[in-house]
Amino acid sequence: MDNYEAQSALDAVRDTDRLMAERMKWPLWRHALVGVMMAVLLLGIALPFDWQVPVSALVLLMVFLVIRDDKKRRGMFVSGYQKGRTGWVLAIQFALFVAALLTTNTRVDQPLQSPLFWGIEAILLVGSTALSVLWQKVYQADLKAGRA
Amino acid sequence: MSNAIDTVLHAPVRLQIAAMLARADELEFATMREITAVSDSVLSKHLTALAEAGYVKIVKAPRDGRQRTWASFTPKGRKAFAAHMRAISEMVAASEKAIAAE
Repeated sequence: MDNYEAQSALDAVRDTDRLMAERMKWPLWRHALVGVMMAVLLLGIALPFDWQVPVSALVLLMVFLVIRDDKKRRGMFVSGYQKGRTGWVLAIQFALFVAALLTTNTRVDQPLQSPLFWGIEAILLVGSTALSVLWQKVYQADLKAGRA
Repeated sequence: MSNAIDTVLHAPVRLQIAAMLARADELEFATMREITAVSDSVLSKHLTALAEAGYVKIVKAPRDGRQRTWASFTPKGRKAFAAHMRAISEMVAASEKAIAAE
């Protein structure tokens, strides 16, 4: 391979990244589903033990359906674990969930009857949805700029 | 130069396939064909070459009554692509440095 071929290969990879970035678009309902999954996961942990297994099964079912729908509609599946700056978005998502969990564990006795718990759930749902949208934008920007 | 050019990934279509698989966990054959803009037979030939090298895992699964082909990187393929990209980048950087020094 000479220098010209090397530059052409780099350009081809960048073009492919740009084409992939064009396809990395998910509808708002798909982002909102991520928020719903996070909220349901917290609900499963907060509820008594008898509820934890069915709620966890519901989360797993939702994950399965999201993956299947992504593959069917877009011909690809992209998990949240990718190289680049999206790692920061995942870290914020993790911190948000841990903060919601800690607040629930320390300040909520009866989750279903607690307005505070439903407030935490709403913040987690909206926050996770927004972070999912942010993840998409950051990943697209990384691909277009050849950063990822 | 610390990284060597990978002859398996040298062909442009294979490099394009690898670049796509580096950005998505799984890709369907039709999606890869649209992005690479090559024929079914050409794409199939290069995918098979990557699979034979142990770089790509190919899975066939039925959907809507038709057989679909899905591809994903193996850990070996992901590593090889990263090394290949480093080698190419080093080559281009060295070339630019040489031109600047002239």
